[in-house]
Formats: sequence, structure tokens, C-alpha cells
Amino acid sequence: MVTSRDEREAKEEFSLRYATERGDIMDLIEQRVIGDVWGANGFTTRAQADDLAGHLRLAPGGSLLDIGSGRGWPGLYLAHKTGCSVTLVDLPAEGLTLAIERARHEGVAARAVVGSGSRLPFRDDAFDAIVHTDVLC
Amino acid sequence: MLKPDGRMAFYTITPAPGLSKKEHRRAVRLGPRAAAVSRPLDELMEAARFREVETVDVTHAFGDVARAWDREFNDHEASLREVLGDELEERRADRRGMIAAIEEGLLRRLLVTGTAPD
Repeated sequence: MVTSRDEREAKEEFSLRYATERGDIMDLIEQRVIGDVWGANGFTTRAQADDLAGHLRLAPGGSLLDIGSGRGWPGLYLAHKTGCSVTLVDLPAEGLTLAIERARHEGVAARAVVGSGSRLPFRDDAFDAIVHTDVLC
Repeated sequence: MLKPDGRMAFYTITPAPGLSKKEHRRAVRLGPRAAAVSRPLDELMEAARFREVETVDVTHAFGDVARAWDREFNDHEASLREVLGDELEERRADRRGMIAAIEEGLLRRLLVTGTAPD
């Protein structure tokens, strides 16, 4: 169960992490471990992200919500891969800022919302698919 | 938030089923933040009227990836220390705790998928 204290601690930890320069070595390691470079340090590999695209039945024109998206992994990757649009939600704004910069650079339709997964500010019937990876454990 | 027949898919790390209270506490302590659930995830999804709910255990791959991070951190320790400073040891300790919990059968990682009510 995720508490508001958990959320505060996670926000502080990840705000600091996203604001810190990663260095080429982190990119090299991430590429070798998960197979891509998104500033992630979790356990979802690129092959698993590709599986998610199939499970979510993503397609051009569709809309995806990624909860706890960090710098955009895997939501932005999935949108780039499938042609859907993506809404990225996370507590730290720092990661979302980097994700939106990348979306602009890669021509992906993306918007970012700072918010908690436990209190999402979206209407009913807003998305074709929802994804999250090791967030709401 | 999901449209009728919309799809949800997520990876999640949880304590393994059937643990003693002591083992469960260790799993929660060594796992990622808030790695605790009150009921099986497929039951929670079905209670929310999701259909076609499927759960795939991906713990083996979870262990492989956790060990790969640890191995890379060992191999590049000097370079990482310049970037991460004292945080390097914290990250390594957290990850090694998680690896121990995986290898002791305390933690598992699941892929859960389902379709929203129509």
C-alpha cells in the first residue's frame, strides 16, 4: 500500500536523482542492462516494454496513460514505437520536464501531468490504455 | 479513466505468497518502496470488473536484471563513484538486499494485464 509518506519520500529521492547529471557511464550501463537509455534504473527491459505494447494493443490514434513515468520509460517509448499519444504522470516534475523535451525532439505526442497515482485528475473514458511499471507495488 | 474495453498492463513487485509474518516483513523491508499488497492482484483487478485478467510471473527475469545492475556497478565502480558519490553505496546495498530477497523466494515480480469493463 502506498502512503502519502511513501509518496513524499519517493518525490524527494527522484527529484534529486532527475536533477543530477547522469554521466555517460550511467547511459552505458543502462543500455547494457535494460537495452535502451531512458534514465531508468528499474527492472523493465526493452524486450518487456515491447511485450507491453502488444498487451496494451496500442495503435496510432490511441491514447496511453503512463503512471510513474519518470523520464518517460516506458510510456514515451511505447508512444514512439506504436504512434499513440501518451500522458505521463509522476510526482517529481524534473523527470517529466526531461521526458517532454525528448518527446518534442522525437516528434511524439505527449503531455505531462505532475500528480499522484492515487489521485489521478482525469475524467472517465479518457484513455485507451494504462501502463505502469513497479510503481503501485 | 479507461475507456470501455481499454487495456491495462503493469509490472509490479510484491512479497511472494505464503510467507510467514517474519518473512513478509523482510520482503517488504528489502523490496522496493511500498512493496506490499493486501490481496492477489488478479482478484483486485476482477473486483474492479476487469476481464481477461492474466498474471505472468517474471521473477526469474527480475533476478537476472537485478544481478546485471549489480555486476555493472561492480565493473564500473570507480567511474560511478565520480558521478554518484556516497549514493553509490546506498544503491548497491539496496539492490543487493533485493537480490537476496529474490533468491530467498521472498519477492516476486508479476506482469498483470486486463481489459476494462465494456
